Amino acid sequence: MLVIIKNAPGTQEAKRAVKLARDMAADIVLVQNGVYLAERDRLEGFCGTAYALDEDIRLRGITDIDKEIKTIGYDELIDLMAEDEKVIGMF
Amino acid sequence: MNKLAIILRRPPYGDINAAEAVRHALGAVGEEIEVSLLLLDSGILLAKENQNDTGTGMTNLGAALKDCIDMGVNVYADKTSLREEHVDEKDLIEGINIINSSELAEHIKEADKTVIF
Repeated sequence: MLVIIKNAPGTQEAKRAVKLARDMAADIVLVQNGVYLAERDRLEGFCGTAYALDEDIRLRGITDIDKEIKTIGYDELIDLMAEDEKVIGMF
Repeated sequence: MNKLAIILRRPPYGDINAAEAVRHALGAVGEEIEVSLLLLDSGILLAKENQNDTGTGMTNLGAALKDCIDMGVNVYADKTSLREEHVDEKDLIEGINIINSSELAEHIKEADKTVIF
């Protein structure tokens, strides 16, 4: 299962999405302002796989990315969404 | 009106707020108004260095903020927000003034008008 997050870490939407993904043992994809969650230690204790869109990371000048984060391009994002049996988003 | 305070609370690129805050600051300083651009909460993310818009088709708001500073806009970043948004002062664009909450209140009090984005 995949949860897509587009809102910044401080928002209710982002907090709700991370909690939901944790509770459902789902993976997450960070896009737009959601990529700020890719910074080191922002997703402490999250056990699923966390993907982040490379273009949005570069645009926002984020350099200190957590080593657990998998950066992907748009094509890989489309593949992820097509392959997964359930996609929930965007928070 | 001589003094304008523009408060930005939203992160760049996610919506129009940061771009509009910068546009208003540039417009006002061009009219000889003394402008304070106050970056709070996720608004401080506008001041992050290394914003790279290559291939995105987006306007680089980091570069636009540098234009603001060059044209005389006083840009301030709230110290508490920096900590909450995990941003280190050394990762900021040059020319950003770091302030605490009482200094922030002072800027707002001194301004003739305040606009919030």
